[in-house]
Amino acid sequence: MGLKHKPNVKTGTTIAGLIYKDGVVIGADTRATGGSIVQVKDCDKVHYIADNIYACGAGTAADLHQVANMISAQIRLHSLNTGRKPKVATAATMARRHLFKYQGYISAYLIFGGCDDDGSHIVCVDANGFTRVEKFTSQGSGSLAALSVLSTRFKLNLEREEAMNIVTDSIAAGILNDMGSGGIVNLCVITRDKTQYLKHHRVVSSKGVMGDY
Amino acid sequence: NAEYMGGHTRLSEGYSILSRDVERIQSIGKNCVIGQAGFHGDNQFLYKVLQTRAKIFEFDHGQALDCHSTASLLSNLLYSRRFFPILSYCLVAGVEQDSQGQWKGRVYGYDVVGSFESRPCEATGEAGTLMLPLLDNQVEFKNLGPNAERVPLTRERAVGLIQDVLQAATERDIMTGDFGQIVLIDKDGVQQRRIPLRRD
Repeated sequence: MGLKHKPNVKTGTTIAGLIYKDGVVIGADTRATGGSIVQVKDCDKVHYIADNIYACGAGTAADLHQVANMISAQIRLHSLNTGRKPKVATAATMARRHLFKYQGYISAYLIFGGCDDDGSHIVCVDANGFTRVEKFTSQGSGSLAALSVLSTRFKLNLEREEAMNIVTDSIAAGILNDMGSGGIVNLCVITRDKTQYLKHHRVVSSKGVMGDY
Repeated sequence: NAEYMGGHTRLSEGYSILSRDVERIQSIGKNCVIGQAGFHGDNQFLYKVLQTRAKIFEFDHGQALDCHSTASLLSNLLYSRRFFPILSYCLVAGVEQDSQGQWKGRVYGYDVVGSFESRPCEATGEAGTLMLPLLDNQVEFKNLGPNAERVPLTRERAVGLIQDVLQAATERDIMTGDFGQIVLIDKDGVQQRRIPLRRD
């Protein structure tokens, strides 16, 4: 009865990350869907948490936006309080505590990646609060496509170029083979000294030929 | 005096792509094509039945089915399964001669139980609702202000328009993409071409 509300805007999504020799590389696609309609063709799924920590998010777009902002703010205050560079584990724990409290109703599936004083880390946090520390991982509806590429090509102590290629190719696999993912690959490379956010790193599928008239 | 039909070639289930190369527009007779959206299994079944019935008509009557007769036959086929519908959203397009011998193009749109109507333009399928407003606007000049330019529809423009409409649908609908199949039907028969669409 009443108005059937449109499905929430979800980031259908392919997100992935891995640890390489000098740091971490994380990547995401740029499509946000509501049902089977593409709501946003170029949305930003790599969220800033701190200068040395970024998080990729899959799930409901509103949830991710709010959770990412909240963690970012809390991390900033925490870092000022402690006088130390923020740690990936801290960010992940804050997210886990929040998400577990809401028993999965906040649909946010995050991959935290960053470099801190303890080294480079990739931490995956599920909407129910389950947390795991990984060397490479992927999330979202395109995660299987991405994981197939990551599992095949991942090695320890990869070089930067190779690592970037592997993550980009894994996101591209998700973009092409999963219909919930699409658009362009966004990449973020984080090392001890520098963070580089490479927006629109690779265009995977372009529009093709328009009518000529 | 000609008809264009465009369709895409992606077959999908849930979030996965089963095939990037499925032809959805097929010929019935010389001057008529049927384009089908919906359940692929039923599409294949329906096309076989329709083709067989068209052949039987030819053998019985010594002449091929023309476009409006095909349309009518399809309607009856669909209605015969009123209580266990064939989940096929069809479009029948073709050219036929009217009483003065002029060739006219026609498009018939259907629902799953066979209700059909001849219209200047029609769009169906998952992204049908995305394409139809654009077609209304450019083909029938609907919802245009009084001073807006109404560009008459030539063959080149029609092809371009179908291409653009497919591209537009591909941009915004996740299930549409891979290749576009564009079919031209005129009195000389049916011509096909393919355009690449986004594969993501």
